Amino acid sequence: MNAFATMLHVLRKDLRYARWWLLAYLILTAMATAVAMELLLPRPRWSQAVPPLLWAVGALIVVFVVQADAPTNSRAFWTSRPIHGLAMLASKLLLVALLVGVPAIPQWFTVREFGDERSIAVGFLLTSVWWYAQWLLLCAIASAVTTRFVSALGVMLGSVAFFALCNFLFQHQLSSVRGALSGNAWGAIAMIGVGALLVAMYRLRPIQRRWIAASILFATVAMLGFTTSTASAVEVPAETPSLARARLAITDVLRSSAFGDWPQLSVSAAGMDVRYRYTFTTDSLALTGETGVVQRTRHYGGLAHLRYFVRMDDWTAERDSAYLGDLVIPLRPSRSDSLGRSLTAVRLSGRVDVSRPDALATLPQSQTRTLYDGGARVEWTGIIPGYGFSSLYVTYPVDWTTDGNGMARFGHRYRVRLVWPASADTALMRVPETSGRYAGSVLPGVNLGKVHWSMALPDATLRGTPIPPLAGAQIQLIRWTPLAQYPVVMEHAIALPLR
Amino acid sequence: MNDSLPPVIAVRGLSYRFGKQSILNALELDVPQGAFYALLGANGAGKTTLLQLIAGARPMQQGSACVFGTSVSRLTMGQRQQLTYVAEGQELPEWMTLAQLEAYCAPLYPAWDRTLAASLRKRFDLDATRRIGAMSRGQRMKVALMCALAPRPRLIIMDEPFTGMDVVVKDDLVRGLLDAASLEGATVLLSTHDIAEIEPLADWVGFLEGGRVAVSAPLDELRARYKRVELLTSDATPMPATLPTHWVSAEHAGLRLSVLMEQTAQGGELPPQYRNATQIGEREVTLKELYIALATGNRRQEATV
Repeated sequence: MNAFATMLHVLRKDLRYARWWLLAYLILTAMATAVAMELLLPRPRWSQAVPPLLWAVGALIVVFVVQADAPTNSRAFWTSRPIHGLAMLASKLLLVALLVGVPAIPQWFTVREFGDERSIAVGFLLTSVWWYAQWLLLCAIASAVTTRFVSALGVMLGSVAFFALCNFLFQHQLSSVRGALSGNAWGAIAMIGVGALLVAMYRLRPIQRRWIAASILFATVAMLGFTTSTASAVEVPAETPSLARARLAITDVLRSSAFGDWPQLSVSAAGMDVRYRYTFTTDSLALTGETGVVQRTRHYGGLAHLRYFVRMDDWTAERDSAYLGDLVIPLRPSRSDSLGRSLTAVRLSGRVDVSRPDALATLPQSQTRTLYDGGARVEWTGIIPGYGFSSLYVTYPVDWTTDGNGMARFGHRYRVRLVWPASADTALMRVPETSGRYAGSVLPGVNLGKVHWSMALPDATLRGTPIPPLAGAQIQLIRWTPLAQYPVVMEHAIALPLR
Repeated sequence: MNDSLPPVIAVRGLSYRFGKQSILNALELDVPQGAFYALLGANGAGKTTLLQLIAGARPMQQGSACVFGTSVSRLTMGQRQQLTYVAEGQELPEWMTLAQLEAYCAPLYPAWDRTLAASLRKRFDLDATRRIGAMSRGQRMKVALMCALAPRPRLIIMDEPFTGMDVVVKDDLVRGLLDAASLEGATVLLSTHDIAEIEPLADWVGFLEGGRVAVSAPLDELRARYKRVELLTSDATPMPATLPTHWVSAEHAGLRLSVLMEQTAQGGELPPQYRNATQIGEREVTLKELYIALATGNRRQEATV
């Protein structure tokens, strides 16, 4: 029996072993599909439990199957059989692929049902598959280094706690430290690294656990060490030796690829006194945001960490929206763009918390469904990679309720109606209606709802000037994870020229 | 067994440590082809570790172990198919029935003998439709033995197969092992504390002590080196404070003295106080006596050193 046949042979054994769990998995997948494709309306209450259950059953299957042939158990049955370690590894990975692939098929049809571009749908599918696969791989790794279910559970919970702690402690650092669970590129690399370790374990057959533990510890220390050291930051350019003294001004217009030509951002920084000016322009609209005041400044390892308080009073004169944010600016060596301008990539990391509980009380109801019946807390996270390693993170929490047809976090399709609170005579911007649709999601652990917002401003005014309807905007990606509720992730490409 | 053939197992300078504790110390071992090799040793002597290393169930630290002339770490799948290993406390897929286990194992071995498997199943009185998890410990060991014999391997490695088994199960296992011994060209390496059970099977004996193989020789050769002599003394003569060098052990029961002695050139000479004793019997030593003799001899040697 060659390696390929052995792999299939072991896979068949595993499928037979976990057959009842697999049956439950298939049933849950069918239920998740029905919920995501809105075959069950009004949405039953239990539908909210389907995605977590699907994930839990998938994780259990992985744990059972991997621990049945644990590479660290020298008494495991397979170690006394002529089974190549790589064939065993491949069979387990194939099972994980099957577990991911089964819900991915209806996921594809769910996404495609929106009638969007194929490339976008493929992107959604791959992202959701990758996100879910990471969790199952984490389960596989935890199961491979343990021989008991409880131990595997401990490793998984420990990993989640570890990454959550990293996310909390190093939220302003590079994404590698912020955890492999966030599904970013560094997370992928970390996962692949651990996967490679797993391959080595299978190849070497039973390997001593202390070596595995030492390898993981080494990788962790190296990752943390690199990220927190000055090596990961670049020296402040010679022309700006100190943020406290030098005057930084970022005044070039930024363009968001996702928003097309609509939102543009202009930022100016003046030493300790950081001031922002937001400029949103279209052919016929220009809005300007307010500035902020620096409360705290730290400057280390080429990073400038600014804590600031910003008041936005231009938008709504009668109701100031205030937020506290953090801004981290690692300064990278200067480079030139295609126009020959000197550019310095800037990474901004900020958290914005806007609270307007009373605003939604005045929301007009959607024509098709009642979606909002309570307060709202909106959160979105924008990752704006620019040149080099620069990126912009903005978190904007989103929280809302629906009329009982389902929670938005589960990808219920709906129409969104957003209104900026304003009185008739002071409103600078009014968005009486924004239509949105969330893609249903079959894959658990992630809600890849895609929001398609078509914004219209039929009666908006800017300082007394009527504003014609705006063009549509699109939010590309929405995720829901067990670790952080409702983070809406937007990815754009922006370069911040720094003068 | 053919002494002219290269050994099936050749271990050279094998050392293994658990942390600071040395388990095996530059161990050397040859297991000839076709031998039924009994590896004896006290608890903690390193028998299990040695067998795990030979079977490839544990990575090497120092030294080498070759099976079929190939380093264990470089064994091909073809060679692995000719080697079966039954670990102490061998785990089995408990959710499977015996029939399912056979169906799982059979394709892994090109030489899997379904007839032999059926015959062993019948001999061991195993129910093919019964779930392995519902079987007793003895039955599970029989299943493990069946899975080890049915591929008709060239080498069978077994670690303490009789531990915790009742007499009837042991007898069944021994009969199964006799089948194994009769397999054409099969070599068996087995570690056990049940010396009496293994005696009718073993033709080679290795004695592991202090992380080394103290003695490794054909059983017949070892038997020829020792004998049990029964003496009848005229009175209750006290035992000498120090036994003669060729005496391994001596037990006094009334006027009867039983001596396990090495057959050396000076063999037969009795200490002065036993000169008048009458020899009433002489017989071949058992494996158990041999084991005690070897253990005692080694300890005495260590004490001298």
